[in-house]
Amino acid sequence: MNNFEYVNATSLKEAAAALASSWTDAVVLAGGTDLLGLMKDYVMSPKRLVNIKNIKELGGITKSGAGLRIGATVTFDELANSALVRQGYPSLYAAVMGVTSPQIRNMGTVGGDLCQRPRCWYFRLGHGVLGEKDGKSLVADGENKYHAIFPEGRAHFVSASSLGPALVALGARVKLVSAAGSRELEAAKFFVAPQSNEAREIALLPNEILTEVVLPAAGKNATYEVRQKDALDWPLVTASVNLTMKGTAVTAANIVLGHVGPTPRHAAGAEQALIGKAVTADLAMAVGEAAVKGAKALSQNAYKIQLARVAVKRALLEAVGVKA
Amino acid sequence: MELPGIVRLDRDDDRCAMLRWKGMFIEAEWDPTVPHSNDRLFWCHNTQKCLGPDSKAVDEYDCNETRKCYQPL
Repeated sequence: MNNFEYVNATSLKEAAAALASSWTDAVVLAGGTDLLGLMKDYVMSPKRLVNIKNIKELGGITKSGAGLRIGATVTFDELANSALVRQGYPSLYAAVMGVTSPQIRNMGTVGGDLCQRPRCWYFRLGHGVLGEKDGKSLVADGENKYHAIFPEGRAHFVSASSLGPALVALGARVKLVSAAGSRELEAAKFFVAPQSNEAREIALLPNEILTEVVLPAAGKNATYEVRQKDALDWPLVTASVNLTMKGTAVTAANIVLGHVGPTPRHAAGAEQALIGKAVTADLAMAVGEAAVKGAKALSQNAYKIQLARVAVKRALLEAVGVKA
Repeated sequence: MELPGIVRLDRDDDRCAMLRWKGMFIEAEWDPTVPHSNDRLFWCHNTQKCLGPDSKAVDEYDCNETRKCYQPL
């Protein structure tokens, strides 16, 4: 990797001041589980790293009137050991436990998970986030077994965030801070589909720091991940659901698919199919079918459509405690 | 000799000489009472990546003699 300047910030103000208007000048370092690999492969070569792990206000999991606040440097291990998360947000807990490596759980952070770069091998080989060479998509005619079934424009990679689908389904908000001030975004709007190789797949600006995630009170929620193996890997497909219930009837539903497109994907049509009804195995199957409407398989990833159907069905049944 | 991992050196003599996997670097006799596992982590010794010189994915099935970059053991 290239040489870089290192800033060990101890306050948010100091960290924000050390950032710049370009990703090549400075980037935030938290757990480093993704960033350092990218730097070793020369996919990213920032001139300065700004360590935020020693900023106390970026840690901690606290309950307040607004819901649950999770600091950006909270690790996966801390999330896994939080009774507040495990009891109130089982969908988030399931997503955390999907990261099966203790080493990554000890180092990886909430902010880092949301900001991690795509796992697309063409991106990791230096062909940019769109995976293009000479203006032509390497994904469309190449190895695409893990790519999107819901591409957005030229973006065929899938969002790598493990927590993203659950946070979007739970209606989380993220707080972004820069030297100039702060802003809040819905988690759903934090993920964006870039349409150029220079653009990022998140709404964070180079001079901003993701400082916290705030979760509102949740309904019945669950996450179901379809995985190729039990050892550390990203899911092939994830479904996260959050249901507001009146008795046994669903009054509001959030269904979000992960690892099927460049952003966690709201299955809006499928959500509507649940309203006013009790979740049964048959209904869950029908909702799973509705969730994959419009999916476009590439040459090697049609299997993901079936995985998405099943993931939605199983997440719904798990949320309401119905056995499949 | 058998090494940990799904690829058994004594049974896969048609695999590419450039195929690498984690279990290959564990110098231990395989315990026959432990089922083979597959961590699905393969890479090409030539490119040091999960795609081979022909930009195709690397694994124990696909790294065979049908590929131009194939090198016999």
